[in-house]
Amino acid sequence: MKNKLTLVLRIIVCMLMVFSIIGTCGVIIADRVYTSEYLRSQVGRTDTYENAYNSLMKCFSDNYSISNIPIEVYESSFTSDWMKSAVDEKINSFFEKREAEIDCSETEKNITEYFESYAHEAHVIKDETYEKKLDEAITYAQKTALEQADVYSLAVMERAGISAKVSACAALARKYMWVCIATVAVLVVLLILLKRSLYWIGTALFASGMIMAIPTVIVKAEGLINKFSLKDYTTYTLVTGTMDSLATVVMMTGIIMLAVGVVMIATHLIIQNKSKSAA
Amino acid sequence: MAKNKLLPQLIMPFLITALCGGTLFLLSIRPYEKVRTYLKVGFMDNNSVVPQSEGIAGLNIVQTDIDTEYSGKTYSKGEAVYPEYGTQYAVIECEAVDIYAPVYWGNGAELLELGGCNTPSSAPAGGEGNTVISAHVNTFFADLNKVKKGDEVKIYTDYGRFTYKVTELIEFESTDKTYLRKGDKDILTLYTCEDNLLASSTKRIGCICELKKREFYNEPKEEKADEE
Repeated sequence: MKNKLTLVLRIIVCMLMVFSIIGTCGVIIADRVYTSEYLRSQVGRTDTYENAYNSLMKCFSDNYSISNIPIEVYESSFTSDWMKSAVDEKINSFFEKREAEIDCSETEKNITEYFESYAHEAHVIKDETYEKKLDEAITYAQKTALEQADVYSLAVMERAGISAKVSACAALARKYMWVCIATVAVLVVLLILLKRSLYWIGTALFASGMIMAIPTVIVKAEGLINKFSLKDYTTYTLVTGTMDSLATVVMMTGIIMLAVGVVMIATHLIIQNKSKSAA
Repeated sequence: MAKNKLLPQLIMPFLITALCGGTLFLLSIRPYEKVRTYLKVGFMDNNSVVPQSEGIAGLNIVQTDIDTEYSGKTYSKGEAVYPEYGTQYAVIECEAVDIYAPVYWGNGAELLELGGCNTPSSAPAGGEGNTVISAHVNTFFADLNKVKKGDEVKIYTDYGRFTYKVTELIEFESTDKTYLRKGDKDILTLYTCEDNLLASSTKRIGCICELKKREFYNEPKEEKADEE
């Protein structure tokens, strides 16, 4: 009777430990991922600085038919370094909850210069319409550039109220991260007290590893991430790249835990076998 | 005895996995129901088209050699063929103002670089309803502002030749879609941006043309059936 009660207790504690391990991994990953450093590292890893810059230049090039402003004017206003600093500033300001401070003064200067040289050559009178068109051209250039620099569409997420929800979840995860770790520690102690801890901790790690690894292996094998519907090149590469990296992290964590679990269970069985043989 | 104890110990990890996995599965049903729609919309591309560079992924631009000098038998009745998106399916000609441009089925910057674009929400040339074609003011429709009432516009396709006559000159804001609706009148609407020296214009200029002559190259299906 006592043995059966102990077994039930071990199973319950082991199951609680599985949930705690998965929860702890989840909050640790959320803590590491929902940071400006991680998002910026993904932008760099997926060549998004370059893609966003190319995308911006393509917008201006496509718009030439309407604006008559040559791409060279924009190229001298926005450099790839400008794009990098703008993307970083957009991400940083989002996490620091402040307005992004991005310098677009060069655009105003270059477009004004181009308009003036054009007006001089074509003998265009600088009237109200001229000023209005100049203003429109500058506003369009700056707006387009700032939109392209927002590679994670953080402004859209903010407007839709998604960022507030995600921030709240991340804050909650950070708040309870140590609680989760402490819970795992308490459950380990409990399993030690219930004896045969090596086997039960190994079982908990095995189950946690399986639960984390199997779904991510399916996601990767089925290519579900590549089914992402938004086919804008910059967004697509960034989103799928980031998701793929996350899936890899979860999968690797799961596989490592699974392996450790198997080793612990095997060790326990070998020790048990040896002690029985010795007896 | 040892074997009897080994088997449960080997099964137990899988049992725990199944119990925990099952519990988590049951717990995730309700949250999944909430986000299912978003997931389906976000990851609905079963073709898994991976964009390779900037631009519209999967856009297959097809250039077609349209015969503008067809001299065979023609029929006043027939069926306009809806082309595939991105296909050049026609050539537009207005001799009065020297307009001669390929027409693509679709829209967007990529196609506008190559010729005129027939809005897919409108009718194809010779079809029922309004055929809406736009092009850039500094390229293919540079002289559209010079068209006058009574000028002749011809559209050549693989399935027929259609003659229109300019009946109205129009001006509208880019946000105004009144002239771009398919409607039930068999007309042709041509438009472009207002010719602005610098910066973009929100004003659109163009013309509405009345369909005067339909010349289909293939026998209409009804006539064929009658002959049989």
